Amino acid sequence: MRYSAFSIFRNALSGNLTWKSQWRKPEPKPHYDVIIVGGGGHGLAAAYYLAKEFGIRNVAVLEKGYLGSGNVGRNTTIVRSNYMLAGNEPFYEFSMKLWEGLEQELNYNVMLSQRGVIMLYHSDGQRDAYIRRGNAMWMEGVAAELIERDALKKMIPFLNYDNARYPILGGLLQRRAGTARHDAVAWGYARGADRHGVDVIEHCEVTAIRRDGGRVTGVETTRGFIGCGKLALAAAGNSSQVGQMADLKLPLESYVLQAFVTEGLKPCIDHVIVYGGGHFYISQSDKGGLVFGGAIDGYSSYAQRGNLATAEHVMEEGVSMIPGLSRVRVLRSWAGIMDMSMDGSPIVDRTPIDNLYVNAGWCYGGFKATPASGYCFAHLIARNDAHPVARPFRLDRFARGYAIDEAGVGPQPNLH
Amino acid sequence: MASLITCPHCGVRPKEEFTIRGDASLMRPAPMASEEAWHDYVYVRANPRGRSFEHWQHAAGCRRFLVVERDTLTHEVHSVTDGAVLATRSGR
Amino acid sequence: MSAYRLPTGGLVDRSRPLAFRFDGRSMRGFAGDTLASALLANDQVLVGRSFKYHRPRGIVSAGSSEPNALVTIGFGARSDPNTKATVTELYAGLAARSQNRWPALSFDVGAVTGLLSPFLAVGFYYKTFMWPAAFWEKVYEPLIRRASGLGRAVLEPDPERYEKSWAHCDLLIVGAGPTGLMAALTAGRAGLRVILADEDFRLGGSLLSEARVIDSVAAHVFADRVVAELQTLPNVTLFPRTTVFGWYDDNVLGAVERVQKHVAEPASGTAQPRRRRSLPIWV
Repeated sequence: MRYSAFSIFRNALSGNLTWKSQWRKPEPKPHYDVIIVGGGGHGLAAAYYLAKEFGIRNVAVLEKGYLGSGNVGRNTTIVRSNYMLAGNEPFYEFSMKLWEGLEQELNYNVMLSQRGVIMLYHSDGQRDAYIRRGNAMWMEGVAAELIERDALKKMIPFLNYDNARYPILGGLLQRRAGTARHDAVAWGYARGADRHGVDVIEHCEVTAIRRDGGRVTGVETTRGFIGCGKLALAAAGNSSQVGQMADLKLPLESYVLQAFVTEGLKPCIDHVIVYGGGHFYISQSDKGGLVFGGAIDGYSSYAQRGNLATAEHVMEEGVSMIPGLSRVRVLRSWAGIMDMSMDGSPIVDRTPIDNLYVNAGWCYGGFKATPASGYCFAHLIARNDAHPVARPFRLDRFARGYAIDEAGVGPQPNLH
Repeated sequence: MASLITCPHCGVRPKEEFTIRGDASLMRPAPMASEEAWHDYVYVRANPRGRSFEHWQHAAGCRRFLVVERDTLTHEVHSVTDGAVLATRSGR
Repeated sequence: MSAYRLPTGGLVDRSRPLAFRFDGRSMRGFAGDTLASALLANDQVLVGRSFKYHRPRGIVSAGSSEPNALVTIGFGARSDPNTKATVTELYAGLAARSQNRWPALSFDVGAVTGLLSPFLAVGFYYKTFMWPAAFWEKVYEPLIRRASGLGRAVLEPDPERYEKSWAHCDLLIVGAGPTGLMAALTAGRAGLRVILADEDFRLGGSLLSEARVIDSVAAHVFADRVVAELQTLPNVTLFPRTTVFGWYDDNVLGAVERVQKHVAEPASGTAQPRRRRSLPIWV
C-alpha cells in the first residue's frame, strides 16, 4: 500500500482496521542468491538497494531478534557528514545526500531534520583544528561554517560560555546535518526491501556458516539450514562472533555505549550540540525528549547494559555544557554494542573467502552511515567491486598502512 | 563484575578509578618476527563473547597494571592479578 | 476548602494550613498533603492536558505511576517541569502550573486535534507529511514539535547545588511499606547495616492508608512506631524522599534523594544548599 494523505483518509474512514502489515513474515526458503546476516539498518538498506538498484531480488535478511532490536534502535539519531579525513568524508557526504532523498525514495517519512550539528570548541587549538576540519569538508564540496562566540551566543544562548575549565569560544556548524527518526529508518527500509521481493526473516539466528572448499554454501540457523550464493555479514556488535563462524579474524573489539532520553519537553534545543570538552552530544526529538549520549563504557562487553559511573559522567558533561539540564529528568536509558575498530573507521569489503562479504566496525557512527553503507555494500555484493566512496574501508588497510584514524589515537579501540 | 574491581593491592574499588587498556591475552612477538605476526598483535582481536583478559591500570590507586579476568557477557569478574605477578608466573 | 475535604481522617495536620498556588490561583492545603490531594480538596479536578490530543486530564493515581497530573513547580531557573502532583509534598509557597495548554487549562486550543483523531492513528506521521517534500522541515515538523512535549524546560543556570555521596550496607530495602519496614526491623535488630529507602516523604507505604488495626493501634501509628525504633538503631539508615532508579553490576544501585525539594527555598548558611544527591549504594 502506498502511503499518502489519501491512504490515511481512506483508512480512517474504515476505523484504521484495514492497514496492511508493512512487511510479510515469510518462512525461509531453502536457498537465496544472497543472505544478509543482521536485520539492522545496514542489513536492511543493503537488501533494499540490492533489490532496487542492482536487480538481485532473491535475497533474505536474517535477524536474530526483532527488527530494529539492535543498534538501529539504540542510537541518538544523529546524521552528519562533517569528517576530516579524505577516506571518510566522501562516503559520509554520499550518505547525507541519500538521507536528503530518503523519505521520497522509501515513501516513508524518516523525519530527516536538517537542524544543524554544531561542534563546540573551547580553546584556540581546538578552534584551529575545527577550521582545518571545516576546510577539509569544503575540499569535498561540503559546506561548513565557523560560528564565533558572539554569534553562537545569539544562536544558542543557554550554553555555559564562561566555564572556567572549558569556556565555549564557538563552534563548527554543518547546517545540513541533523537527526532522523531511527525506527522509521529500519521500518522504511524493511518495507521497501519487502516490496521488492526481499524476505525479511525475524527471530532467525545464524549459528554456523557451512563451507565447501573455499566457498560458503549456506548458514545453519535456529530455523534450519538456508543455502546461499553469497553471504553478507552486517551484524555490528557481534561481527567478531559471526565472523568467527567462518574463521574470519577481524580488527574489532565490542564495547557498550549508553544513550539517554529525558521526559518530553516543549521545544528548547533546536540543534544537535556536541561538546568539545569531553564526549557529549544532545538534541531534542520531535516528541520533545532530550536525547543524549557520551563515550563508551570503557571495557569490552556484549551485555547491552551500561554502568552507573559512565551514566553519571555523561550527565555531568551535559550539565557542564548546559547548566539548566540539571532540572530535567531522565526518563530512560539504554545501551548498544559497538563494533569498535582499530582506527575508528568501518570495514566494507570482500574477505579471504570468495563469496563472503563483511560490513562491520562502525564504532559509534553507524546510524548516519545507514543509507550509504547499505548502498555500497549492495554494490560490493552485486558487482564484487567496491563502490568508489567505500573503497578506503578495506579489511587489509591495517596491514597495508592505510588506517583511517579520525581521532588520531592509534590501535586502541576504546579510545576512538 | 565490572562496577567494582578488587585490586590485589588496594581492595575493592569502583570502576572510575581504573583506566582500561584492552586485551591482555596478546603475546608481544619477538622484535624480528614476521610482519604478519606483528599485524596480528597490533590489530587483530579475538574479541571473545565470554571470558576475557583485560589490562586495567589502577590509575587512581596503586597505579599498577592489573589483569582482569572477566566475562564480557555477564560482566562477572573471575580474577584480578597484578600484571607483573602474572607475567612472572606464566614465564613471560 | 470544599466538599472533597473531610473534616476528619487521613494523615494531614489540620492545625497547619499551607498556602500554595495553582495556575496563579491561591489555594490552601494542610501539612501532610501531596499537591494532588490539596488540588482535589480545592475542587481542582482538571489538572492537565494529554500529550497528543490535549484531552482534559485529572488525577488517576496516588503515587509515582501517575500519568496525568504532571505540573511545573516553581518559576524561572527554579522550574521543575513534568513533576507528578501525586508525589509532590505540599509546602507553604509552592507554585504549580499546568502544562501543555494554551491559552488556559480550561480552554485549550490544542484540543481541536481531538477532532482529527481518526486520521492520527498510531504511527500516522511515518505515512504522511511527505508532500510537498520541502514542507516536512518548514511546516510540519515545527508544528509537531510545538504540539508535543509537555512541560517547558527553561535551561537557565540552575541556582541549586547537588552532591554525590556513596553509601554502603549489607542490606538495601527499597520501599518502606509493611514488608520493607519489618524486613528493616528484623535485619536491623540482628545487627546488619541496613538502608531503607522510600520515594515517599512519609514512611509506611500502604500502612498509611490501611484502615485495619495492628497491635491494637491504627496501622499508620504502627508504622510510626517501627520507624521510631529504626531511628534508634545506629546500623539502620532511613532515606525517605529517595527514589532508587537503577540496579547495576556488582549490586551497585543508584538513588536520588530529594533533600530539600519539599521547601520553597533550600536552606542556606553554613550547610551547603543542596537539593538532591545521587547515591550509588554498594550492597
